[in-house]
Amino acid sequence: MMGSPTILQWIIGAITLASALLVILGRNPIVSAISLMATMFATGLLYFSLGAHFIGVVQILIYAGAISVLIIFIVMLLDLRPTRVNIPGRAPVYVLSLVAGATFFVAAIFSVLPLLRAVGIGPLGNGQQPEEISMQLLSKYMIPFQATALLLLAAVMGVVVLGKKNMMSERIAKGAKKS
Amino acid sequence: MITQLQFLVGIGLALFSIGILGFLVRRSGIIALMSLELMLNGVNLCLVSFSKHHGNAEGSALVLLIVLVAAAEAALALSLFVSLFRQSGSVELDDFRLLKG
Repeated sequence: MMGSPTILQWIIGAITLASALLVILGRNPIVSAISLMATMFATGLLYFSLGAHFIGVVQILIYAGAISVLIIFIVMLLDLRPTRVNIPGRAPVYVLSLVAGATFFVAAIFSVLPLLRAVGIGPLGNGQQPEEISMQLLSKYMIPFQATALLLLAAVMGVVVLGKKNMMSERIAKGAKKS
Repeated sequence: MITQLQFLVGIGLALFSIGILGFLVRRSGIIALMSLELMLNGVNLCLVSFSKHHGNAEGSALVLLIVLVAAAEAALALSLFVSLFRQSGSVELDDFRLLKG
């Protein structure tokens, strides 16, 4: 890792943070979803600027391509209204959340970043090529890699079960109406 | 002057903090899911920066696994929200206090 961040990285980083803020500040869920997509793209560009091309491609394909489109699709399908604002009795929760988030950010920044300055310049190894990543995945991390296959299978089965009518979801909704 | 590593880890931490904030403040389930994705993104950015810094691929392998898990989680969460919305017409988390939390 050499030198200070380039101008391009400053710009992409600013875009990342701005669109991430828009995700949580937007009243309309569609605005949030599209900002999320922009955040994913900008993070992928940061990976490219870092030289981690494979991870950048994966980020743009899976996050910006698949997950964001899925979220936008669901938001449009459900036709969500802009969320309620100024719910009475929630102001303390907002303040506490803000304090918690800001405290975490400041504590993390001030404890981690000075340590990183002392680390200095790392070795020049690349370590981001697809063959190196797959060597790791197929030797040292073989078991976790295969476990994700099981996880994806379980997720597919779960989605099929949840997608059916008159099952779990109806029971949950009945409980929600009663309470 | 900050180094590139500090810059990228700082952005990752900021993404994570924004995710925490969104998760705590927003009451819509879908926005909570998006905040979760933001947090995962921040962690991934830190992992890739450290992996690049140390010159080995283990962090990147971990990021690949995280992306897979996040995809499965997003699919499951969204189908949960669809069935909740179909049954009760809302995805606001406050409407589903079944366990009286």
